[in-house]
Amino acid sequence: MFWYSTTITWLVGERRRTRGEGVANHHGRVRTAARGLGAAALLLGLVACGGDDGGTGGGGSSAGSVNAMAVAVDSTPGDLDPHQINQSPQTVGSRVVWYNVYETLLSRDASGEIVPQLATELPELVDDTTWRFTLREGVEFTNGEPLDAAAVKYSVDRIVDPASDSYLVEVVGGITGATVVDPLTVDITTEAYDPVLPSRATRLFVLPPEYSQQPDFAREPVGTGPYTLASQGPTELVLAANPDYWGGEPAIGEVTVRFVEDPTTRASALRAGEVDLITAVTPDIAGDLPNAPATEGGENPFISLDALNGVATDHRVREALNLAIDKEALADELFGGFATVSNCQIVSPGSVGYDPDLEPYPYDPDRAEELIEEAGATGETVRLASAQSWPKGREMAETVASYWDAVGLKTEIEMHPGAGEQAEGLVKTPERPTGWYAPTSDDLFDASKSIDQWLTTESPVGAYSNPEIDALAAEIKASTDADARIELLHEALEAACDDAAFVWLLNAQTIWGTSDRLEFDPPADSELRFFAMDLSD
Amino acid sequence: MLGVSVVVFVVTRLLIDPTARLVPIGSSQEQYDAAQAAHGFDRSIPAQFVDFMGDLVRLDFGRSVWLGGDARTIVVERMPATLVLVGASIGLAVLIAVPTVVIAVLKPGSWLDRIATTGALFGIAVPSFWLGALLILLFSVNLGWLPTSGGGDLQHLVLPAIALALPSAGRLAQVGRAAVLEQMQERYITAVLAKGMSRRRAVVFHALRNAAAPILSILTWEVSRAISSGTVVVETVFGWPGVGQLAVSALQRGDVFVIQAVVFLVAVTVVVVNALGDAGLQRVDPRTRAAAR
Repeated sequence: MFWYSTTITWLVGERRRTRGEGVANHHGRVRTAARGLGAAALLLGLVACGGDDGGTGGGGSSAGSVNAMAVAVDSTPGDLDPHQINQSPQTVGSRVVWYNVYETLLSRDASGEIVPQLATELPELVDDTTWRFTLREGVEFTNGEPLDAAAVKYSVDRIVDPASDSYLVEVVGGITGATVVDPLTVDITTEAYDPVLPSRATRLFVLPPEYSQQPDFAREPVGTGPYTLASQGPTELVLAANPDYWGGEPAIGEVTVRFVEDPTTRASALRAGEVDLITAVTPDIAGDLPNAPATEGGENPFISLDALNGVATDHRVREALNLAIDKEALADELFGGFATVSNCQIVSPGSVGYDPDLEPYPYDPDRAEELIEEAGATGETVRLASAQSWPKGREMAETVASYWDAVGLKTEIEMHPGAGEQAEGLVKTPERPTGWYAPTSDDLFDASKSIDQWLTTESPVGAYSNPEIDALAAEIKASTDADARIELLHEALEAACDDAAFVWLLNAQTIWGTSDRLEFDPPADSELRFFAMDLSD
Repeated sequence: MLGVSVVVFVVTRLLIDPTARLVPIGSSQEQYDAAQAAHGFDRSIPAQFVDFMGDLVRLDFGRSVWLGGDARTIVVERMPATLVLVGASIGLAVLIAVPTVVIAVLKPGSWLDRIATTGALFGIAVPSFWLGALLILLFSVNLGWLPTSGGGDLQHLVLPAIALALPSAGRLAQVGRAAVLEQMQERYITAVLAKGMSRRRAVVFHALRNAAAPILSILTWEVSRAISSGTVVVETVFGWPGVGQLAVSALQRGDVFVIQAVVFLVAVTVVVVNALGDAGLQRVDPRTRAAAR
């Protein structure tokens, strides 16, 4: 304290000594100015910040009334327009708004089963390309507009219109539009027979036609869902219960969603009692949390290989790349047991077309080395691309590289900061890296997605060509018999496995962190639906 | 600034493919081509550069696909939060460094001096993300005194300001100590001491003031450093809604427009800070003023 008081005295005394003292004057005044600046900055902090959104600190949510909760999510929301959906894990902040403020014709329950939402039941297949949905009666958007066939038509048309630039392109795949049959009945048409349509309908959000014509409608979202967006600031947003919700008033009256990008800080927030739920928990942190429920098979990390150019064109090399890796070790050590070895498919066990009879490639580095020699690839360079933003993206790349190096290859790792940049490498030219690591989420819960995206010659992001699989893919698309279709899917997956099309790795669990009072059933599709949650006293 | 513009152009147009960021994975070639044409990325490099400079002069950085708004507005909205954090941390750093320097000079070798010097080294050496996590663990999780993250008021400012201040304080203490010790060798100090002034007064009222020049230089450097890199880590760890956190998010998403807005506007801020620092330096030490002419 002494030195502070000395400095203060000096500060004060200096004011009196500044008359006619020449050069020393300037020194004194500058030091005063510097001090003043520091003090002013602190003062500025007090004043300027006071007016902003009062980010509640400790205990505001958990200690208060029973029906308010707080969540910490791993990314800041981007554009709140639900037709801009990009299913990368980085937009969890936006999805929290979409899945609670808006609704879709069909939804999923916690186990992943498709259940009706705005439709009263699963759709009826009128003919090969037309699905008929019956809408729920008496539902209104929060601004009073009715939920009817016209609203559904408007929303579907908006998504498929190329001018909208919708990110739902992956999901939409083949939907051509919608037709109004009567106010409560709407038909959705597809290009060709599409058995996956009900699954696609779980991601088509319905917007109010009049309100959504305004340019910035997404900033104040209006939907039919159980919550409304009460406020949004730079560090958090608040969802308030919609008392007129057709499904009844939500048990949880208010949800504060905080954006906390750093995983350790998120975990700290849960442990400090500031929040009741956190997303994107990594296996190493899970042990420190009060509760860490997990969803099985949420993500399938794998390595897509370039089978068209370079060293991996030889199927012996591709087989060797699989045999060289100890996948059990990856599951246990890298993912802390929160993963299982994937059995030769990037399809989750709950999905349509999952083949329970496939076996993963065993860990056999000696055989791998033999195969590499046979193929004449010993000493060859292999490029492996990964991104920091994937969970364990760096560790996975480094571990896999060391396994591959141990069987006679030279692996060069290309780390990218984000998935977007890494995705640039997904071209069908020699520039493509030999191995491209990423988790893929089986979000349509249907094996056809993995086939269409990665395994066919026409696929947008795959670099693999197998006439047998191409033929099967065409048959699968045309198949109208559900059981026959599943058989075909199994055949295609088996063909890919035998030919070592990829390096399959794991089926990783999506881990959450919860407080003791939150009643939460981890959802199979990883979307947070607060209507399904409750707080115990 | 021209140099910065060129670097930004090269990085955002030539080293990466900006169109790939604008269209989702799995888009068709037509969609890719359409996006490319819409933003003018299919034109020749010199033509693109002319467009780019033209936009830059009008301070038009484009529209962020991810956030759905004008990139410049997004960055400018977040600037005050970063400036507040940097201001608070520099103020704190000065408050920590000055007494440290005075103690070190007056009582060299004492236990107080040793603690201060070690503390300074610790501040410089420790990585800020680790320090941040440690502060959160201690003050938020275990003691419950302060919130773990967020922004908006004083209680949210404390921990990030400390995390950002300690390395600066360490460096300021080191430079300050050297500068003051140098002043102590000067003849005017010997003169006032001979005339009976206490060492304490000599250090605080004379040596310290005359050592202001190098200290001010370092201070300017610290502010620039804090704005351009220090806040990136600290804001991300503490969820403080400033430009640093925005930069990290934009980089991860490859949002070219926000990246170029951030780089450019931060560069402008740093230039302004340095100009202010230079002006201050000329007032402190008139010798530099003469040299500048």
